[in-house]
Amino acid sequence: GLPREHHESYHHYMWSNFFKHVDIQPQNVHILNGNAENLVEECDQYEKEITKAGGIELFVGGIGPDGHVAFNEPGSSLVSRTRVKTLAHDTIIANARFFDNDLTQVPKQALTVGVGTVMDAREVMILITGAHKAPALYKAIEEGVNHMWTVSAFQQHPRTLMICDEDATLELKVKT
Amino acid sequence: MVNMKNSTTTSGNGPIVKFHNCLILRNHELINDELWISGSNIIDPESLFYNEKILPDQVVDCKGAIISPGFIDVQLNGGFGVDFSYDVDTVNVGIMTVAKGILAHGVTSFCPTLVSSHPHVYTKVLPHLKRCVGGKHGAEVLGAHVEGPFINPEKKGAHDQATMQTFKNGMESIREVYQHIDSICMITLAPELPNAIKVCIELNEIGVIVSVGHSMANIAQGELAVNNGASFITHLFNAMLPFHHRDPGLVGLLGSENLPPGKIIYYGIIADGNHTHPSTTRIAYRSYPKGIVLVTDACSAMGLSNGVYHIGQQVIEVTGTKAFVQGTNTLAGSVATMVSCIQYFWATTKCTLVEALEAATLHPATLLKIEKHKGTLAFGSDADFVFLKPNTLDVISTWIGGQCVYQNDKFDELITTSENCSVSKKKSSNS
Repeated sequence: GLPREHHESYHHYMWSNFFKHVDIQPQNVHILNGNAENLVEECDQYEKEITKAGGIELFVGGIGPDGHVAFNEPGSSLVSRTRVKTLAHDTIIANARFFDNDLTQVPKQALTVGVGTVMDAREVMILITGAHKAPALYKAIEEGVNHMWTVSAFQQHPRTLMICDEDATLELKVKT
Repeated sequence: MVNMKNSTTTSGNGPIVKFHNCLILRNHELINDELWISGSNIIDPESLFYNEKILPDQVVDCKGAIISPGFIDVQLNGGFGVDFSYDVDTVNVGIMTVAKGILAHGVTSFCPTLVSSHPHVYTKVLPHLKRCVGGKHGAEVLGAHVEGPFINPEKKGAHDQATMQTFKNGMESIREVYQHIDSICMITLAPELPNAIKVCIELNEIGVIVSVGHSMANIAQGELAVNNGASFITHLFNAMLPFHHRDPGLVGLLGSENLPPGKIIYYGIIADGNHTHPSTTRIAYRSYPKGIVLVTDACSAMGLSNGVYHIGQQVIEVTGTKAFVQGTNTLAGSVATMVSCIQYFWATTKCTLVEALEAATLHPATLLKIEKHKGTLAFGSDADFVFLKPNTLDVISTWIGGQCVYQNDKFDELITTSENCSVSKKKSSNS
């Protein structure tokens, strides 16, 4: 996995963009460790930690151009839990820009919470901006729940909030 | 006032302090970011957060101040009435007086400089000028800069001709004259003297920084020295052949293509408005910006008002911002402070603020090969830094090893500090 100190690691991203700006206690931060000796155990343990903490109160996420949430790529089980996921080729290409456009440098797998894990959260908030996300948003909320556009699963969550900008709504049929 | 409590932390290195609301010089940029220190080092807060899971003991609100690495002065002959080369019997007191006085100018490390002197002076004085850590008592001493006596009498400047030496016994002459070589950080010599090149090589081998200056060398002789270990030009333009379009002399090293690939030749500039015409400074800087090192070359009169003082064996008269060898038009040394040199240099060359600050921090540190610990705010460096007022660059406070060692009373209200009320910290962190 990417070293924690790598400038494209999730640890670094979360520190630079969030943790250093708020007064969170370090003990309350739980990020999946891609360098754990036993990745399956790491994922299982993560699920246990979520339960121990009382469950997820609010899940905040984005959406990929292919409709994925977290790294639950098209084809993921809608009842999946935290696990090791092989990344879709599109995702690897989309992320190449963070690795000097060298495809060989982009990680091919990721640890991710599952769709099922997120469905257990009490509230779900998805942020979607930009015209390039418009087709995905359309598929997510105006077509059926299906495992090829995993974010569509949240149609069945009691408290989902999708926040988007004008451009992201360009493909929606129902005028708002 | 800033109050540093001595609580221990799990990292075992002293209190963890977070400075925020400041502009810090990092990776050649001034960025709005935090500076974290643990004990006497600058640390990576991300690593602390994830690995040790602790929060700072203290948080300092810098109210928009600029935090620069502490300034490094590699040429300083004295100040505040002290002359390292002349006040031989009281040098132990003198070095402390100067080290303390320059904290107010943002200098956190320096090389006390001796002008050309008789051997008995070196024997007596050098032991007191060896490396010494800084702190509340004063700036860190990096070792002595011996400017002479192995120089060319035709370019003696304010030095006493009677003290001048040659390398008749090569490296042995160095040992005979100076005795305490281990106190020496840098030596200025004239590379055209017989045996000088051999001596350059040997000095380089024992880790002494070699500078060329007070010399009649042509460019070829200068290049030979740089190819054999010399890495600095002492006060460019002063005490060397003037630039000539067919043989540019030592000044020509700034445009030389006969230097070892990738090697930077550093050059000292006394940016006090007196030693070099502003146009000259601009031409030199623009032709070779990565080599510029700001030095004060300050003499004993620095920090004092108009009067008559001593430098080496000579008598100096100070009027206003200039110091002359009494009765002549020869400049004796400057009375400039390091921060005023940076301010003047920044205004005169219109370089970026980062470039002006690096000329007094990163560049001298790299010249002295100490850039891993000094001259930057990189993680792991010594926590030597200075708070400056944006726009004017006035010194607000100076810090060495994470301790505030100087605070300008005029700017008292600009920094506030608070004990961190983190619940996760051990209660014992409050004394």
